[in-house]
This record gives sequence, structure tokens and C-alpha cells, in this order.
Amino acid sequence: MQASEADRRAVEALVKKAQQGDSPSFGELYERYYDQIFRYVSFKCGNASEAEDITGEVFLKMLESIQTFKWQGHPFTSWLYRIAHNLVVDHFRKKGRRRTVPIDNAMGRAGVTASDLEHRAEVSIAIAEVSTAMDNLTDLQREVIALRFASGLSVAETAAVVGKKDNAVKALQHAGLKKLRNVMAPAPPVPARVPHPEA
Amino acid sequence: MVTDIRTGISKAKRYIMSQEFNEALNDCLERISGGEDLLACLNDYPRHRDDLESLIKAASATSNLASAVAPSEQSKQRNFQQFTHAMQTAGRQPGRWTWLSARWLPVARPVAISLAVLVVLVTGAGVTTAASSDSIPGEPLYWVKSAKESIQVRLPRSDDGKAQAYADLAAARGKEMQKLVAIGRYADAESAIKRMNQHLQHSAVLVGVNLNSNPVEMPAVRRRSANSRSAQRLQSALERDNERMRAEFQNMLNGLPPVQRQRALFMVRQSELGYRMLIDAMKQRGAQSGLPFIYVQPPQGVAGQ
Repeated sequence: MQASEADRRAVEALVKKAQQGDSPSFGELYERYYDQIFRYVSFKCGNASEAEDITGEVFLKMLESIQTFKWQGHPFTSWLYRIAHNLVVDHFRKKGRRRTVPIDNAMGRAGVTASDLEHRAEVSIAIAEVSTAMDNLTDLQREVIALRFASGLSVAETAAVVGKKDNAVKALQHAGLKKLRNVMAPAPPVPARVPHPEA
Repeated sequence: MVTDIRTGISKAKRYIMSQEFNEALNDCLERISGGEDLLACLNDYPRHRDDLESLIKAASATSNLASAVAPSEQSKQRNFQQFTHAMQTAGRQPGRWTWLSARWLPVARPVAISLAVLVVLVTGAGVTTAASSDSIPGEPLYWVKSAKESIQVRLPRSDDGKAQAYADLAAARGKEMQKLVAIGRYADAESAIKRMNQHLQHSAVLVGVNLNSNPVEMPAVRRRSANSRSAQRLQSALERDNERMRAEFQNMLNGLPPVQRQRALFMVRQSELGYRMLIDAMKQRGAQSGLPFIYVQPPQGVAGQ
């Protein structure tokens, strides 16, 4: 899960180039992080269509704000996930105060093909399973589990995103997994029904 | 020392034990994700073996579920097209800024502004600045307008004055948007609306309301003054600008063919939403109510941007 030193240096070089306006570097950053940001956002919002839109926004925001990013001991991913986190929070805030048409009704969206819909249905099922399992977790536990197991961040990276110390992240990870274990544990076998003697 | 009656273990000891367990769990998770065998790891922690095994299985089930979650290629492509479009709009073509590294930007910006001021003063340039005020992005005099605007927002001493200056800039972006739509430059018109909303958000922060509480795009700004009368004046100015723009936008929309009208209508909605959110948030602030917008009290001692 820990990013290697070579990886870290490669990302640092990419970010520096992107800050100087180098388009291919932006493209590489997009390619490198798109899927994991999408997974994280999906875990957080539980809806594939919304996750697609929010993930798109994350990268637009990255483009807008990359000049303000400074290396202060935290990896670039922490910054990117922080943007994603903020956008998910904003999304729910807006959704909470406005009546919205469910955008999972993707038939109405331009450019959505049948295979896209099929894929979206599969992803939606997986996301629904995750959402159900994570229902009992607190917000912070959910955040830590999403970052650790959906996005594959290390403890240190997760700590930087959530603004906690490593030990706190480990404790949250433990508590979150404990709750998930209870939900994911296979149900005990149902005893065979014994017919009533008088029946 | 506080001791649990049932287990006879002190709280301090229980804390240490849980810390130990957290470390063991994390160690195993890291090792397994690095390709190590589950049994090898469990053997290193015989005391916690059962608990560790079930938790690691839960983690692995969650990871498996997560790996099934992947974006569709089509949506990824769609978003990438938007991304490249935004990149081009932002003028970040390869090599364009390579001579001006991010390191020098903080220095270069004030220098550029000072030079702009000097040029404006030396060339007497009431004429130039007046001529530039009608310019739109891409035109030769637009840089003069941008420099003038940078000065306009720095001149007021109070935050209320700065908020008003940003509101004026938002109205200027609205005018640019209309001109850009009229000559068919829709992508630039969309950028103008985006910038309009950024100006409105700056105003919001300066008057003490936060429209989306996103620290990445809106760092906290220290308020230097709080004056309810100037806030009231700003609110009225915003309402006036919004009303005026609504009428102008309506005229603009009436003259457009259907497809272009849809695109322009979306921009108009964005503009109106930006204004409405700020005006409503200011009204809520006046009523001392936190809903539906968040009232953020900026932390003391945080320097303005």
C-alpha cells in the first residue's frame, strides 16, 4: 500500500511539470489517479452516476488549483483526496437542500450507450453492497475504510487526508473492520424445521 | 488507578493492549497487501490469531468488493474530454508557462501588477483604461482591464469594500459573457461565468458567509471590519445587478437559435444561482440563522489572501 520512493519522485516531477502548464503531465496525473478517486467517491456517495460526475469535478478542480499546491510533507494524493472529500460533502449539502431528479436514470443522459448502462448496473450492485455493509460505520470510520481499502492509501497518507495521527487512523481502521466483520460474517445455518408431532 | 471490575484490567493496560492490537492488525494488512501469506503473519501474533484472522478477512472482502467498482471507459473518456477542454480554455497549452515556474509566480504576479500600474500612469492612461473597460478576453486591451481589476480589489481597506469590489468584477464578467455569446465564443463565455461565480464566492467569504465551505478553493480570510450598513448596501447592489443581468440575459436568449439558447440558458442559470445563493446567504446571516447555508467564523490570525 505504501508508495515507493521512485513512485513518489515520479509523482513529484509530474506535479512540478503540471504546475508549469505541461498538458501531458496533467493527462498522466488524470490517468494515474482517476480510477482510485472514482472508487473512493463511489464508496462515499454510493451511486455510480453521481460518482462519475464528482470524479470529473475533482480533476477540473485539480486543474484550477494545482498552482496553490505546495509540498509540505504530505503526498500529492492527500491533496487530491481532500478535494474529492470536499466535493462529496458539497454534493450532499446541495442535494440535501434541493429537490433533484435521480441521475441514475441514465437513459435520459446524452451519450450513454447500452454497454455503458450495463457496466453501470454492475458497478451499482457492487456499490450497493459496499454501502449496506458500511451503513453502521461512523463518518470517520467510513472515510478511513474507503481510503485504505477502496483507494489503497497507506496509513500515513490516510492520516494526512483525514487530518489525524497515524495511531488514530489505526484505531479507526480496527473499529471499522470490526463492524464490517459483523455484517459480512456468513449467517449461521438455519436449523432444519422439525414437524410438529400433532401436525 | 481505574480498574474494570469484570476483567480486573486497568484502563491504562487495556489502552496499551488495544494499541498493540492495532499495530499487529496494521502490520498484517501491510504485509498481506505486499504479497505475504496470511498464516505467516498470524504465526507472529499467536495471542491475537483468531481476532486478526477474522478482521483481515473482512478487510480482504472489502478490498475485493472495491475492486469490482471501476468507472466505465465511456464515462472516463467523457470526463477526460471535459478535462482537456478546460485545460485548453485555461490556456495551459504545452510550454506556454514553462519559462515562468510556479516558484516565481508569487514574485512575478506583484511585479506584473506594479508594471501595469506604471504603464497605466506613464501613458496617461485614462484613455487606455477607459477603452479597455469594454474589452473581452482575447482582445489586445484585455490585460489592461485585468491589471486595473487587480488593483481595484486591493485598494479598499475594509473587507466590506473588497467584497463590493469583487461584486463589481462579477457584474463585469456578466457583461463579458453576453458579448462572448453574441460572437459565438461559448467556451470563453462559460469561463466568464465560472469566474463570475469565483468573484461572488470571494465576496461571500469577505462578508462572512461561506457558500460551500471548501477550504481547497476558498481559504479562510480574516475579516477586518464588520459593518451591517455596508453589508446591506452590498446586498442591494447584488440584487440590482442580478435583476439587470436577468433582463439583459433574457434579451440575449431571445435572439439565439434553439441549440445555442440551451447552452446559454445553462450559463444564465449558473449566474443566477451564484447571485441567489449569495443574496440568500446574506439574508440568512442577517437573521442569525445557520440554515441552509453555513456561516463560517473565520479563524483569528489567518492572513488574507
